[in-house]
Amino acid sequence: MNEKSPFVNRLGLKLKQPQVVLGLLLVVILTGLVVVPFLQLVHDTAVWQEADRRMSRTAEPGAWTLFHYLRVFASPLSVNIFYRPLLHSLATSLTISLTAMLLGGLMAWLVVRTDMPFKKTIAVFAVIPYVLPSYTLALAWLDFFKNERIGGAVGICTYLFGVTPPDWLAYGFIPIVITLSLHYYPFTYLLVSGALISLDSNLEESGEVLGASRFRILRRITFPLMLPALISAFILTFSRAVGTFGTPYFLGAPVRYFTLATTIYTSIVNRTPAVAYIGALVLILISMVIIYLNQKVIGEKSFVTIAGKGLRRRVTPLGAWRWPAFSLMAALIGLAVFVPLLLLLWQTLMLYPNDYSLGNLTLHYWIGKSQAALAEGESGILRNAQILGAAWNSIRLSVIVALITGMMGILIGYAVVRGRKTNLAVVLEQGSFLPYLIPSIAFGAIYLALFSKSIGPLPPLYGTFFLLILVCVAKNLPFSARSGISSMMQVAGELEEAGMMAGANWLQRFRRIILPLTLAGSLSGFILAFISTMRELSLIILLITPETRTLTTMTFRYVEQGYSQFADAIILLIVILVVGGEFLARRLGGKRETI
Amino acid sequence: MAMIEIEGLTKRFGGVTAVDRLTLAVEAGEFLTLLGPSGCGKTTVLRMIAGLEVPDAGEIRIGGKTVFSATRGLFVSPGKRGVGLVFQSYALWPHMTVRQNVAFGLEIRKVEPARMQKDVSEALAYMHLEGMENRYPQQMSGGQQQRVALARMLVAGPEVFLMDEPLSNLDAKLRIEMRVEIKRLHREAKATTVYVTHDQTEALTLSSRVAVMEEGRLVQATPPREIYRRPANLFVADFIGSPTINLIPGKIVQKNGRTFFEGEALSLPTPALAAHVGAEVTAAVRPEEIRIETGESGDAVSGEVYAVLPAGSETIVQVRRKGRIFNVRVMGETSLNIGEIVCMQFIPEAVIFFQGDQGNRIDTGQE
Amino acid sequence: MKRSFFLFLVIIFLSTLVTGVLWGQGKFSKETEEWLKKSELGAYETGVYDEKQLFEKAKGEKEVSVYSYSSRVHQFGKTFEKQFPGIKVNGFDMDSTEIVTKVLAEQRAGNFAADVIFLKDPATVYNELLQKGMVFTYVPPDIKTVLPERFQKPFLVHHVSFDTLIYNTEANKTPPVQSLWDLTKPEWKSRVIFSDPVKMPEFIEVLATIVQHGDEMAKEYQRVFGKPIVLSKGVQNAGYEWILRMLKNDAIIAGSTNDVSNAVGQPGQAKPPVGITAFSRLRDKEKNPKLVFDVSYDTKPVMGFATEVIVAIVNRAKHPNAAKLMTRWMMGDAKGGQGYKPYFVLGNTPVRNDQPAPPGSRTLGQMNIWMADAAYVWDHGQEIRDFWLANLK
Repeated sequence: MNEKSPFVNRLGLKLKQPQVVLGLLLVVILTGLVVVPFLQLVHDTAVWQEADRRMSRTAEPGAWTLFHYLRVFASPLSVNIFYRPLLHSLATSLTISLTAMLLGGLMAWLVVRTDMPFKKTIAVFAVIPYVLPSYTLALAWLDFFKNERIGGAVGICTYLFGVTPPDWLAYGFIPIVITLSLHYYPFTYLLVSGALISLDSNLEESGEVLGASRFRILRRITFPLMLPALISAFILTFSRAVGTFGTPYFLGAPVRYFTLATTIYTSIVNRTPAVAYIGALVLILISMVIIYLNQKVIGEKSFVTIAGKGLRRRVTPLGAWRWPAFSLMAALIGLAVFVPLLLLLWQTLMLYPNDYSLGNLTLHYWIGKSQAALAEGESGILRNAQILGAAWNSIRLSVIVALITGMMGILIGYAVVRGRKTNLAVVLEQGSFLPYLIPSIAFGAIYLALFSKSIGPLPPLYGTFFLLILVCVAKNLPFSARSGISSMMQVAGELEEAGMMAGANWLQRFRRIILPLTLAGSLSGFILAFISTMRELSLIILLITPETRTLTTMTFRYVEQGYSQFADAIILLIVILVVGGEFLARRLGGKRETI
Repeated sequence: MAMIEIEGLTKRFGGVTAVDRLTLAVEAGEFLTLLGPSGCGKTTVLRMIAGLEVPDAGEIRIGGKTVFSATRGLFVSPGKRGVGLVFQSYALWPHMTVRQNVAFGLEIRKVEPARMQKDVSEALAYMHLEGMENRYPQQMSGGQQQRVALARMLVAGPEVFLMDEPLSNLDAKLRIEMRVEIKRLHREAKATTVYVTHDQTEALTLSSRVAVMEEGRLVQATPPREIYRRPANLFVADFIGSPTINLIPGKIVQKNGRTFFEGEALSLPTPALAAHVGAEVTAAVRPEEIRIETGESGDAVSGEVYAVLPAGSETIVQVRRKGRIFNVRVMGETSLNIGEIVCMQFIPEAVIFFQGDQGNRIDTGQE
Repeated sequence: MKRSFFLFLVIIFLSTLVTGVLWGQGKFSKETEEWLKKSELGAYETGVYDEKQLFEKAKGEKEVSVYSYSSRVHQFGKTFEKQFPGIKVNGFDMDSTEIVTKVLAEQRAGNFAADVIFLKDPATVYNELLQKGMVFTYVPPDIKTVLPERFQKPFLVHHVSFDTLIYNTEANKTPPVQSLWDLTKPEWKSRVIFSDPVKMPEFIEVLATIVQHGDEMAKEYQRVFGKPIVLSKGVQNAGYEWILRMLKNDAIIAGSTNDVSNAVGQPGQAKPPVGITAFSRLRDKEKNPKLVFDVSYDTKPVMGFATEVIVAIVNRAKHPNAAKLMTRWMMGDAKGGQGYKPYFVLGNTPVRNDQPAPPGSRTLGQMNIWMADAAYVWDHGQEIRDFWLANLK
């Protein structure tokens, strides 16, 4: 055999390791999906755009300029297009995160650690709000509280109580905070209840033995142990809330309460994308600061996972508070799930808005044939070829995205866990987190900018279904990578090595050992990707072409046109599809889990 | 030619050198144990032999065939090395039944079904696992899982068995049972075996040769008896034996024309060390090489009984002398009481000396 | 970490290099020239309208895609399919800006999905699409004689729609507002509603038209308040001043023209608002008989602001003959016609001078309106948008 340099040899040997090859491949994919678009975004903020010629006679498309930065940060418009929206974004996101943390934490504690009645039922319903599209509550809120301000019919509130809700209750800060808190609290609920379940009561009992009061134990032992979970929940909620578009738009726009996310949308629609991109950069910066603070605060401390065999869970008797606690939680879930859905349903059954009499009830918006006099002659959603087409698109997109992202999640998990502590693994793990930092609406904008031209051998992807898949996969990657990594952690390296010893090549090991063992654990990653794609609006609103319309973009369009019946009916359709899809996925996945 | 030849094997993890220029040959049919405290690199060596870890330097040959060479950039994948490995955790696939676990390797090698059926059944029978074919690993006891792991290794008929602390997860009774099982396996299969453990009893009872490792380096690779009797250095002396060997620092001096070891708690005549006069040394005595007598006697030294630890067939007596505790092994029971003054009799020939600065054994030409 | 970072940089650099090799664009490229020739468009137009022959050619194309600002695309699409069997109509309704954005992206992507675009905001379409050869104007030769020149160039105008002031007829027997300046009075605080100009380019046209007629606005101010207007600091003319005062008077910004008519026309309101919305919203009353509103015909200085709705064929459209056929279908006939029917309604003004005004409506000549000036809108639109953004509460 001929002599090669040691470096070449070492490299050659490294490349024989599947996690290295896979890791490199994934880093390249990630670069293409995230880093390149991000650089394009940064580039575009500092370069004259075509559309800028409307704003400046000296605009020279393609040349460098600071114009956009000056416009955003230091012009007469700055207050309205940047500083005030920024303030609104921070104020709403902070309040939402704190409220959601409180609600979710309380619910988790009540469900896991107390003798509250119907705990299991509450636990089942607790996560539903997150499954619903985030703006479901916003639309329901409008159906209820809407006053004359935005035109159209006034809300049910006025009809029932004869009182017109004031603007501050109907629109802006208060409703945005309430609806989104109710939407996001499941994050905290899931994380904290998970942590509470794995927390051994012995830790608390040892405090009790020392004579500490219950409150003291809660404050000095339980709470600090829950802190990492709480903070993670806070971060998760904050970064989602700050990038969400639907709710602040529906509830904020009528009173000109704009957030950065809605400003980004209007900037793009107004074809001043560079201004939008700067807003996106600011959002990314905020997310990064928050995550940095998180790491600073939690430091090396990781999640409490004091798992073991003899794990005992202590139940705190609530005494007289049992039923009040239950009522409170039931009310919370009722307000977050059932009331809004019923409101939406009612709305879809009303022939004319604002007429709450029984005679006004109709199924026209569901199954009615086209009538010229109603809604520009569009037929009910279950007969409407456009909507059915959009539904098909939504289902197709969600399933494909769930499969690809889930699979990539497992692969990333594999490369990261197997390559533990290598630089490649670190890059991959952190890189897969990047899409998380880029707000959905900005992400869509970047893809619009990047993929409307041909890139090297790639044809222009704009207008293709493939592009939607791409953007949804990229955006969902952080979650599936997380669940891929954690489920991979459960699979001891030796299980794969035993396969190597048996002579199985990588593909055989992956198919016969890794995949079966991680699939159940990664199921949540699949389902999450399915759900979030199914209700995705912010991410794809800019990339949708008529052929690739989805249900969510149809809803948005109907809301804008003021056809709340159609909008609400489609939302309900989405809810049905999401819940059905999740049920199906759990059934399919559940079978594997039982072995 | 040796079955496994390892030359200059080195492995670094980040800045830490786990295995440092290790050279070792394992003869065909030998049962070699890699022994050492945790973190000494013994498992890494085993994994490099198996092909689960890529060394940074060196060469490995198995059965005369080079399976790894850093200079030639050669790396043979684990499945093609003709070795079988039993993992510490057994690494049974939880989603497969016992039969599927054992058959997996044969399936991969595309063995024809009838043959596979037969081989698997034989391997299971050999490990006394009849009737458990369709169970999942989680439904079995630790000992049974261990048997499945062994069966899985056996079925492929490897020339070399590699075992990574296979008994460490079992309780004491099962451990002894499986020890016998492994010994039987080795004898009947006549396969070269490399066995990793940090349990010296296991090492001493099973192996034909024990290789002691310390911080990535091979310290000594000799038959068990020699490891115990003639440890290469202080580390080995201290590591092997329970209770641990008695170590007394001191100096070699010349008094009246005779050579003595002068320790702070002990003084011994050491005619064989005449060449080392003036050297700082450490004297080492196994607990069973000290005799306890209740009365005064010639060259015995006195001490106070500090603790008496009966262990059935033997009793460990701890004697304090000048602030130093001596472990003494006494056969059977003893009537000594704590606080009692006793005499310790040392057998000069059984005392081993180590250089004070390097810790290497001073060869006195004895034994 | 250092090494991985380096690796990262290398990858980024390479990937960026790849993406750097893009920016392909065509301006009357060879392909476009060929397409124009084949489609007999632009310089290659024949000047003869032979519907039979066109239909034959279009049949081979099988379908036609229309990006429409109006959801009524589905109505004229259906009648088109009946009239020309074998040609499927893919109608898509979107906002005008959305259409421009999409056509731009599609042209850049070489994905020629749209055949016909039907939208408002001619200023943008002119500057961003027509001038770059991304869309072409096709005026069916047989109707050239019945169309005034200004509705043929630079675009084929489909109809003129205008925004006007509406009021609640239940609370007011007569129009409560006589002048645009009345809207700035305290009694109308929080009671004037109109579309969001940031979202809807057609409302920028309205504002731009008001600014363009600043002098007339100043005269009207003098008439209403009996003293000359005093412009706020930094404000250029009375048009801008009107916008500023509207904002100060807490004008309500609605999401759509539909919202405006619903807000104003809702029965049972003690103090209903007035609104500026599309004239064509009058037909909402037919659909929802409960609505009670009407157009304020005598507002001064004008009762409305007219904007043009245009039709164009997209560069390198895959179905050019079907697109021509569709364009012609949409323009209707002397009596209105099947294709034009959805727009032959109260509030829209036909551009064909052989067509009567729809029942209940008046013709262009009978109304006191300002016509939006596309060039002016293009030049000042962004400035006005910025003025609006800067002065929002």
